[in-house]
Amino acid sequence: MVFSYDYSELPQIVLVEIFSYLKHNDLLTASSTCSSWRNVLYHPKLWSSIPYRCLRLNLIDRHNDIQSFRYLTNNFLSITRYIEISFDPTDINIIKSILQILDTLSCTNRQIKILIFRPTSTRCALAENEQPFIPLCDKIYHLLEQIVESNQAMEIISFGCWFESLFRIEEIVHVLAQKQSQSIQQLHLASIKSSETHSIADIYLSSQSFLPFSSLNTLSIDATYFTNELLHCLVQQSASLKRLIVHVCEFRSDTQPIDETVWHSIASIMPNLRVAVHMLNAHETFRKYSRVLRPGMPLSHLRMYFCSSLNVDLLCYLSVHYRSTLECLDVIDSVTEPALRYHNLFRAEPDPLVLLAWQCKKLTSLTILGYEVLEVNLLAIAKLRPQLRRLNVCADCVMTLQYGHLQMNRQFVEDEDGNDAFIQYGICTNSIQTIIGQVLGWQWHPLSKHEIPIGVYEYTVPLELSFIEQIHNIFESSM
Amino acid sequence: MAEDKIKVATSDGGILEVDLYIAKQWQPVKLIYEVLDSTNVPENPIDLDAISTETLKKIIEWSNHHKQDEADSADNSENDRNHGEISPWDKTFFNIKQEMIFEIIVAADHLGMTELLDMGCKTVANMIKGKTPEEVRQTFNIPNDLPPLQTAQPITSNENQ
Repeated sequence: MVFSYDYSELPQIVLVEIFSYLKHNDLLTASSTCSSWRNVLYHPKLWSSIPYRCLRLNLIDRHNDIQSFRYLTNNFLSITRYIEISFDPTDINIIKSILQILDTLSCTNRQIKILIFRPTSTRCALAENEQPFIPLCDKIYHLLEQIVESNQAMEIISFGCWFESLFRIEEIVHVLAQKQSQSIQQLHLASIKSSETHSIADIYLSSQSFLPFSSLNTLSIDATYFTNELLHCLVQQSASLKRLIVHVCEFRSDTQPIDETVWHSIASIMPNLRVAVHMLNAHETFRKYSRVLRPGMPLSHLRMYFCSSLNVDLLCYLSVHYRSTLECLDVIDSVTEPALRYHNLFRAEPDPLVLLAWQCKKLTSLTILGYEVLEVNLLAIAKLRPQLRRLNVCADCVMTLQYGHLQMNRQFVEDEDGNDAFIQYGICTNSIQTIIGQVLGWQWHPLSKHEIPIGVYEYTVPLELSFIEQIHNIFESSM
Repeated sequence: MAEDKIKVATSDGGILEVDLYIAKQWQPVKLIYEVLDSTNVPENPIDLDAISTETLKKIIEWSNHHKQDEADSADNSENDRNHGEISPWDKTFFNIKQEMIFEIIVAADHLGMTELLDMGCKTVANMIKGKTPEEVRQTFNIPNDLPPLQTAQPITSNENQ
């Protein structure tokens, strides 16, 4: 007998079952075969099983693929549970599209669990003194409020440092505390402000607003709001807090540093808590830094972007106070001519970076861009911390130093006891690279220009372009 | 009794004898027993008119094999389903022509045999994995009725999910 079979005629419920076993790429393939298989894509079940399928919308270049954007928003906005929106907030037309997306979401979708914004910049579409700025922030707030009010159990919300959305942060936290306090697990409220672009007067946020959140395990917030009271509120209600990310953009004179004793008591109540501090364009003396970097804080990640402030004091402080918690140190500064120095390498003392690598037993990631680093110190760091998974330096900043005598005929003769020094930049011999690679157990090389964030070499580019994407990734992953 | 058997009639006129224990897992049979409200074996064969003889034989083969699984531990099959793993026996079982897989899936859906349906769907999913759309069409003999422009990515192509 000849069977007549037509796989495109399988009942939709069966097709949904088949497709639910497919990963992203295979789902694309399957839905490109015929129209009935294509229609299966629109079944809510494919968008509701855990892990949630992410609807990624890209609104970075207005003219790029409008058709695809329309297709996605028309068909999936109402059924997706996980939406991630990447966009350019400096283009007013893109902002209009964002408002439309938020409007559609608030009207048609009751199932959003994960809402993530990824603006590519911290600049506004409108200058702050332009009349429509505040109404725009209001509009955004009202749409967000509707989304929060009409959805059942949101789990993760990240504003991605989108300035306009955080303008009414107090009210957003308030409405979240009213409607989503039991389900919210991750909340990313931190922003990146710079006094050049944002001259907004203080935006108030009371610590008490955080009391109702009972399932919060991750919170990112500006240092302005990071006070003793906030910590007390977080600890009181939610012993589930695991990650805290603090953004420092400027050092205000009225910031209250957190008591050491508070940190010590927190460490005993919440032993799993890890804190990440991000310093963004915050040039300051070491003394000011120590107002945020308090002893007793379970600091696991310190990232300093374009602060030009790495020095011996800071490195020693880190080695002393965070030797049992620090896992990651990222320092990214512009490569200048000559490069920045964190240490006077002609002093006889051991290099403070090497000391830090030695002391911090949990260190697995070290990035120092824009500062001179001696080749031999890199080797020492690798040998002292062979468990490093990341060791990033600029190839241009790697130095070798030889002592000797400079002869009358301009010849240099090597001699350990010599008084002259011969310095070379940008040299990291293959043999050293190989040895470091062997010690670490993976292929190592110093980073070339194209592997380094753009702002390190390009001074005309807005600095946040170098790190905003990384910060978004940090919000979404495990630090 | 373990020996209880029941007759069923298939779409192409065949009549098969099946263990009562297995047949009672099938929706149409269950319904009939609920209606009749008796444990007696009905005289006439039960009509399963959507399923061919060959398909039904394969289904009975599968049920016989998995009857032992269920007796061993009810948890095991649950784990398999969740992990997306197909047991070696099932892999061999499904190593048959496309047409037969299709028939089995349709029959399993009709009979309400969720585990067999799961296995069938997983098998088909595995056959889709890693192929291009054209290869999938050829494997399953699917006619392409999409307008030419619509073969582009339906979901934005960022990373993996």
